[in-house]
Amino acid sequence: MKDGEIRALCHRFFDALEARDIKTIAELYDDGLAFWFNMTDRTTTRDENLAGLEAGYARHRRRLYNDRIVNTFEGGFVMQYTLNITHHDGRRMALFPCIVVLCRDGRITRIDEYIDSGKFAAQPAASAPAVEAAA
Amino acid sequence: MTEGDVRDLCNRFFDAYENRRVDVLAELYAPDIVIWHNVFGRDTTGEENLSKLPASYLGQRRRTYNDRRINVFEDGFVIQYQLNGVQHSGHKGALWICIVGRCRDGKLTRIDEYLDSGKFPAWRGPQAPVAAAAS
Repeated sequence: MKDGEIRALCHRFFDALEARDIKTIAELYDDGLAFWFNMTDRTTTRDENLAGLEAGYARHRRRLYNDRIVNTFEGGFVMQYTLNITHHDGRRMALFPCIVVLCRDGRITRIDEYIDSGKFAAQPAASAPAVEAAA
Repeated sequence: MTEGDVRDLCNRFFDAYENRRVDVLAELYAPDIVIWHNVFGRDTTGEENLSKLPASYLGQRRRTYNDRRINVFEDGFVIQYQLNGVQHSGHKGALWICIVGRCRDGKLTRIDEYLDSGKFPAWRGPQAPVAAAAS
């Protein structure tokens, strides 16, 4: 994949996450997708991740994926961003994740996500993205 | 810088960290380097970073930077690695860290570090003194 194709895939993925468009996300995931999350140190499958995303959306009123800094490399990209979350009660918080993604033939094959769970300490327990991952 | 130059710089940086070679690190930092850490959420200068390293090294008997996965992009790299530490108590801990490095003319100009501070208790172990910054 060319730099422009990888960059476009990256934004389609994050736009779909923001729009809660699970159908598009499913189309972007390779069947053999592996998702690793630093909070749990666990690797989950495509189906587990999609199910987690669906359930996770109910936790917050809105999530925006802002300040996207994208750098592409052969076979993937790294993206640093601000995740702005609005809780159901109107309170807002921001997380600063970094995600490393591998892709092939227009689809995402691996995601490694890094966030700091310490940022949840000052937040209500129910607001933490928990195991479905912040992305 | 070529891909090989960037990759070499990345490994020299981590080898110097592992060998506690503050003098080498100082040579690898550009005078205007900015170091950002997701746990503290603020930019620090090269001088601030270097001045804290000797005290930081006292926190553990040994640190090794293992399982380095490096991907290079134009003017920088992303490295995902496992930081293995042996505390003075003998306790062994690990952190999973991602660093995005920017470079110019053979020197590092920016470092963004991502880790999960929720793993610090397991990293320190029951009897270890308070650890300083992970990297």
